[in-house]
Amino acid sequence: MMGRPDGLPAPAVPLSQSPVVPYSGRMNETTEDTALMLRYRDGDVQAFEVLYWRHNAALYRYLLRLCMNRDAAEDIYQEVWKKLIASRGRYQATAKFNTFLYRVAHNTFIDHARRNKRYSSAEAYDPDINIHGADEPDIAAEKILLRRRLDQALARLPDEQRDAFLLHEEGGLGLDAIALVTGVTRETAKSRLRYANKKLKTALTEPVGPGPDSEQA
Amino acid sequence: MTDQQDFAFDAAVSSAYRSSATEKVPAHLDRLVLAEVRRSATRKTGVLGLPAWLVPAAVAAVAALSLTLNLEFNRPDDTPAVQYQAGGENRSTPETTAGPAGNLETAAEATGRRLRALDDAVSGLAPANNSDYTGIGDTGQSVPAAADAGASDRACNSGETASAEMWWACIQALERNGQADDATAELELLQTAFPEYRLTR
Repeated sequence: MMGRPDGLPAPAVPLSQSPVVPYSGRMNETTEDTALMLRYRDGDVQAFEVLYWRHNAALYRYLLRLCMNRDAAEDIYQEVWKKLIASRGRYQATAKFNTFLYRVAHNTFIDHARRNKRYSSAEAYDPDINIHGADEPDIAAEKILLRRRLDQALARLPDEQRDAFLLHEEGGLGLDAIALVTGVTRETAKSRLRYANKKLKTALTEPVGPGPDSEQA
Repeated sequence: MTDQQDFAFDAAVSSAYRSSATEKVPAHLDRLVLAEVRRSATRKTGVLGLPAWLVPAAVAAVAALSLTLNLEFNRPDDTPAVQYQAGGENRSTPETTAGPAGNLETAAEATGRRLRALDDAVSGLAPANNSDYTGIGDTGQSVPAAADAGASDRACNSGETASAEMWWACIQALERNGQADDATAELELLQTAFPEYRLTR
């Protein structure tokens, strides 16, 4: 596929040819997030709304792919924000807001999983295939295929590895923060993230045949 | 060491993920959360996260209870006067606490009044005539055979007026004997001396 002269986005570079680039997350917003939460603690409701709009989508996607169940993800999503709202009087800036938020989300997910024992159900999760309505059909189809393969690969990951990957991608957390959120050592968090990336890359670089995708462990 | 030096992070996977993970939060979830935030703004939190109204209400309740207990234990002794019966029984009925004139009287005053009535009754006993009648005397009336020495013209002698029951028995005997006037006089004396005594027939 070639880039289009009319300005539409070019197709993605083949994964096997992608360079390794440093990751740049939302680190410049963390101190501001903490300040906003402190302002909310002191009564500024609009400060919390700013926090909400800044983190709502990422948190939702984190829970959506962690639970692999839309209903469960929505339940946990509401519960997480309610916990934050209820704890505003006790909030202390002992960690970055991101870490605090995803720690609450992770623990709420664990509690929900223990109560329901049905969170890991790939069949119940139906990803939104309407990615970009303005895309050309061939680009849209490629993106849909990519998303489907990625979601299937994510679903096949062990829960801990998927959790580590999503905390990194959606939460923007580093290894230390992932270790803190999941309650493991830094080396364990690092190992989980490495294996998750390896498996996902393998799944995404495998050639797509006519039949069902075959994934190598 | 930074995260990027610790392991060879593959941006391709990240890029692929970011290109595919584009879901938005459903609008109804946004509404629910924001509504909860705004509700929390109106819901003031007090001490230890408790409702703000709870602490003042608790303080007011403790203050009211303390005041009530203080007033209860420090109340002056204003119990109403009661009149004790001859047998020591305490009755608080209006007819027992009222004196002959209908006004309240203390137990001491009632006892004094009875004693005075008894003194009056006893003082009426004159030793002039013995009350030892054996039969129908000049008056044609039957009188009790037994009589104390020094009995006066009282129908019931001192021995018969020692207690209300004996006195009443004497009065009934007078009535049976047709001595209505004597019975009436003795009854008045009895009721003066023992106003709490209930007459039984």
